[in-house]
Amino acid sequence: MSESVIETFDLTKRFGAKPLEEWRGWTEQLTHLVRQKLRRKEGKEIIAVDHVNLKVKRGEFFGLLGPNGAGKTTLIKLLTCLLYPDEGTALVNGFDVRKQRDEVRASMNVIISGGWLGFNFFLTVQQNLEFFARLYGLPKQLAQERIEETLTVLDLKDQREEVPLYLSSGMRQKLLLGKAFLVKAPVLFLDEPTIGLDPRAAYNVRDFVKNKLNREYGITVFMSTHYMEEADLLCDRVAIMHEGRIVAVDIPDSLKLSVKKGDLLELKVTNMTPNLAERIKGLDGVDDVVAHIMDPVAGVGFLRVHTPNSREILAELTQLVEKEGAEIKFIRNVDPTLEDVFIEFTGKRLRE
Amino acid sequence: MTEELRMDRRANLRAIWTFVKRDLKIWTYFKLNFLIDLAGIFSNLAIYAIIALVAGEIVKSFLKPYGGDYVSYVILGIIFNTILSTSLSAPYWGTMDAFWSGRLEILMVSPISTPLFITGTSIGRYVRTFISVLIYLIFGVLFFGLKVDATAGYGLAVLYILLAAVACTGLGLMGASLIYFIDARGGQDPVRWVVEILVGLASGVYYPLNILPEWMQWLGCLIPHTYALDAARRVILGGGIGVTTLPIHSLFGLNPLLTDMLLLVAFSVVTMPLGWWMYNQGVRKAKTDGRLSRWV
Repeated sequence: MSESVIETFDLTKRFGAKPLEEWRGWTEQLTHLVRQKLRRKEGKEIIAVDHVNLKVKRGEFFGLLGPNGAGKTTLIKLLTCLLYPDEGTALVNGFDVRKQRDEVRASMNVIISGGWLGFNFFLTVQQNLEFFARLYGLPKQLAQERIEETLTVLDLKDQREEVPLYLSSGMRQKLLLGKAFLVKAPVLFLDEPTIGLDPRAAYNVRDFVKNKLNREYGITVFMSTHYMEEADLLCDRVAIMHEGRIVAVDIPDSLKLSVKKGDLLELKVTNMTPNLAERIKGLDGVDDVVAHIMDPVAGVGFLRVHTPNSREILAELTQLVEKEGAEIKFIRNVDPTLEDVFIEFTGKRLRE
Repeated sequence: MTEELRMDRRANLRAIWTFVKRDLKIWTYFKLNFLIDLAGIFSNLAIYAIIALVAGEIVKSFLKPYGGDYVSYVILGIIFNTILSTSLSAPYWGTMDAFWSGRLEILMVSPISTPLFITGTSIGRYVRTFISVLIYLIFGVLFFGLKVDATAGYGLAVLYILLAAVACTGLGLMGASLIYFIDARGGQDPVRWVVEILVGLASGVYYPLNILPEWMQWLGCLIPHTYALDAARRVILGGGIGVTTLPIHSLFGLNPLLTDMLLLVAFSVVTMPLGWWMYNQGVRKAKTDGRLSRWV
């Protein structure tokens, strides 16, 4: 259980302008020169993945949490050999992503976000699974057994003769997950697996990945998400990614505990004014306030107030809110979430 | 409980067969498309049969090295060009279909190798071409007067076309590499565009080259199609085996059929490795600068 199945060493990826000497082959140098001539300049360099060092244990469910543009997908592309690193390297199932790409590909499965990528839209569900099985070299008899098993487990037997074009997004995502069940590669990369799914479909996907693939079959899951609840619910450990860097890695409870410096009060408020959070921040005994506006027109939102002792500020806090013309719907003591962890480490909210 | 599956030779063959089945199923999914393709073949042949009625006698003297019959000349030209056109375009369209349909990533993260990826994404087009060629032959013989001589050198003709197909695949790989080098994702690759212009104008698909000015005949000598069409027609349709029909034949002083063969071998030996190398460099570049995938 302690053996690392994914390990990165200063893994780095840059996009945009690069010094000429970093381009290796003469064709790349030539292309680079031509482009420079054509465009005059190549734009600003972006470091999408910045010296990332991670270790994921065999059998672990590992989450990569960060907002859009944090570098999560780029990191997965580097680990799945769809992108070549500029610096550093990584081992997947013990194989180097720079030197042993065939072995890396034989060791993993990738499910890409959105449920629209990867299908043959005019083949039936069963034919799509057959196609996937052959891409991974499953012999015919074994492939047939696995396809039946997959259709049963994913509850897709009734849809076996339908084409994915006419399936719901939840069923398409299930079909993509079927690829991971057909061939139980040691590592499964999931990029935003529940994005765009309704709550029930998202629950089914999470349940299948966690209980079937990870727990029952021991597949190591490396999942990127920007849903903190998803990361909290599923992951044994979570890495917080921000602007290409890993800013924290730990089990979710430890991460949350690490930012708990006192009490955390959550208020649901209506008629909230834009400067209410700032006014509360000015109260004695308040460390920080984070406002999350749900409905800007009605001024409905949540305030999360960090304080060393909630009892001491409660009266003054409620008076101030009412004085500002807002109405408190409820107030309660809560524990920090991964969102609070993200704010603590990056100074920004996950969905900003 | 987990497993690592490698692609051995049998698994590769099974994967290729799966690609063939997939492409045939997609081709025939819309039945109307299939019927329209058939109608297109018939109307294409009819157009050239009518041209033959009008101009057959006029071009007859130019067709002596190829037996003198324009209908047979042009139908064979269309058939051979259909095959070579597939070789030229399959690497580009195979890659582009995978890219735009969102399957490129799935194929490139699977254990299949790059040669298998190219073969798999292209092979369906060859199967469709093979079926089209059969239909051209059947329609040509039954309705349009294509002359079939049982004693003709069909084996040798196939060899010429295969060599040209290898050369065209090399050119096609060069064109497909431009997807990665210069983002040629809009349906046009410059290599294929140039070659197809030369094919239409100066390879002899639709008319014999000896009706063109000499400088245009030299343009035809820049592409493998010209040699394959010249040689394959001669061995199938008879006529003057030893007659020079291309300006380059006079340069070597060898039998024109041998010259065609040597030049096709030379084309294949140069374009195939160069195309392969360029395609791999293109993939490497796309994986370096992040332009390989639609997955962002």
